[in-house]
Amino acid sequence: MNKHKERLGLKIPENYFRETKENILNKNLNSTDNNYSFSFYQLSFAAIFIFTLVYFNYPFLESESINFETESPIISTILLDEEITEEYIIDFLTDQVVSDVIYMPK
Amino acid sequence: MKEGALLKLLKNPGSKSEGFKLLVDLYQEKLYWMIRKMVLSHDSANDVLQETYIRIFKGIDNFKGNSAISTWMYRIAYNECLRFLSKESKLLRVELDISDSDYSKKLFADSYFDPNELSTKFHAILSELTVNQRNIFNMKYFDELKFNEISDITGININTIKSTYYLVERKIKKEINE
Repeated sequence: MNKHKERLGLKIPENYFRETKENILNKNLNSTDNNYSFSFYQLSFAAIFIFTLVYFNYPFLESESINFETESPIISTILLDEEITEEYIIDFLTDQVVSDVIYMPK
Repeated sequence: MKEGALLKLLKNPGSKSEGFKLLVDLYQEKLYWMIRKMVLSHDSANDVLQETYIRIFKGIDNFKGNSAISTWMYRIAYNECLRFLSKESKLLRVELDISDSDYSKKLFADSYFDPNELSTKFHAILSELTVNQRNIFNMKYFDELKFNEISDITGININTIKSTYYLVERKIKKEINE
């Protein structure tokens, strides 16, 4: 390896290789306890398990039942093909106002 | 120790540490010098060497034995150097077919560079080569790797490697003897 010094002028610190060997071994061999390795099958099984849990437990995946408020003038017009008359709207709004006043929290 | 026996040590969880110590003993100097000539400064070479051995240690279980273990280690070191150089130049990939415009700047900035008449001539020629040409020349001339090993490490066709090496070698001989 003297070629590097003679022909390229590249030097290294004293005892470099001895010290760096210790560093490399400390870094790698002392960290083995933290290295977990899982096989492809273990990872696949874990993924399927998590997916199954999510699929069967999340409420947003269930089919939602839609409840329309048929008393609303617009909805009832669309669903029941009723005509909106002025009288109908006044009745509806009066009912709403009365119920809002009655049930409004203090 | 023969490569087969070394691999057996490395593949067995009970003797992996012993095998890894042998890998460090056998190859750390060789890998360091290959890395140093690619990244130029000692501090950078040290960082890349450490990272290379981390990758070797993590990857040894997946080593299939399709090449010599030394070739596999050199390839990891080579890729680690390219990763370092692209990060250093803030580019996604290192341009291998152009010369490194910062070659001399990096070299003279290193406190572990001690130039003499011969090394100054060598570096003047090396700085003009493309990154690929320089790597091929260094791997053959200084690291004494075989052409097929250089091809496996760099992924460059073996004939291209041979022609590049002889071209650069001729150029260096001519200029150094002038």
